[in-house]
Amino acid sequence: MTRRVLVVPGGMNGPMVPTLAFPAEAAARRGGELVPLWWTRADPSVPAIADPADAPAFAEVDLARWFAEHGPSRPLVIGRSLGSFAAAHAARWGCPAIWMNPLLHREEVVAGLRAATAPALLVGGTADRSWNPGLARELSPRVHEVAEADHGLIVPGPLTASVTALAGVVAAVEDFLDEIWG
Amino acid sequence: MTRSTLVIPGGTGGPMAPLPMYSADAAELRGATVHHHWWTQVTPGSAGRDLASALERADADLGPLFEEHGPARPLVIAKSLGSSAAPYAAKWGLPAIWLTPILTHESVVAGLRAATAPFLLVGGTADGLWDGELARSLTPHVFEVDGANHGMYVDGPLQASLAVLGDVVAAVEAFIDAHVWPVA
Repeated sequence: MTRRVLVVPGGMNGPMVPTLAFPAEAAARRGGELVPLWWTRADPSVPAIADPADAPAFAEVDLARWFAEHGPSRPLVIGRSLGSFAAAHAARWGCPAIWMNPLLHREEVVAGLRAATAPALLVGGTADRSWNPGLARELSPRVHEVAEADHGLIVPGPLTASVTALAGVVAAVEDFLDEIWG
Repeated sequence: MTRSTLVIPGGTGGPMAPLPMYSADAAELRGATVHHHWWTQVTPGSAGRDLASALERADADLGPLFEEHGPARPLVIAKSLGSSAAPYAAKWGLPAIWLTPILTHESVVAGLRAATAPFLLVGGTADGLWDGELARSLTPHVFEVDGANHGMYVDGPLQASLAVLGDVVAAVEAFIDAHVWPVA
């Protein structure tokens, strides 16, 4: 069985940002076949969502299509931020998932995470307002939390500290991949 | 003068891919405003399939981009396909950080040769578009990683590639502090 990997981006910046590119590379090195996704309705140079209330509807246009195509192969989903609206789709298809900076303040995302039957890794930073440490641990036994990291997993201090934090995230991702793909 | 940075992406990942993103973060931490350019005529991921055509389509963006941002005298941070901006950076006399530049392409090399402001070249020996010897003939500021490919990934455990990323960030920061916005 192929190990397909859907890389679902945040609302800006696409699927190649560091917090997606390195986890995706970790999956590729384990035989994952990467499918990097770009929102078709977005001009990547401007924020995709003017009003946060519109976010699920915005995302759903592409998510419905992507999961209709790829869901049946039960891909690993690596999603970040706005991409965490894919949680309901991942649950419906029984896809394992890695959620980077998921929007835990959004009911739709949390409901999707609660409905999951396959293993999920949640990654977030304590300085990210969309993160919720208690809720994350309630939703999954697999949580990697970075102290003081913001929504882009950047920590205060020298930039190399953020690269070190990213290395810790990637190590957690690799452990998770080895667990689900053995 | 206000510090500014112009980030020009490669053909695949956009300006927030790891190498340009962290390099721009380094500039931002030093007080620079950052403008991220997104190609208007290059579909993400398509550049690798037809580099000549991608270079042509990239060039369509670059004239207007530098007309707009050149006067602010930004630091140029560019990855791969973005190195097609080398002639424009030279024309405007701008310092630059070229991440995995396309050293196999004549106009890129000519642009680098014409530069009057300091520039850093970052590349890996396993990148077919890189030429370490040529790089060192173009500038004294070269950061080369043994065995790194066009994405600056190296073989072996992925943690080794993250260590490379950390080293690139450190080299970028050292270059900025010494040659772009010298620390008093």
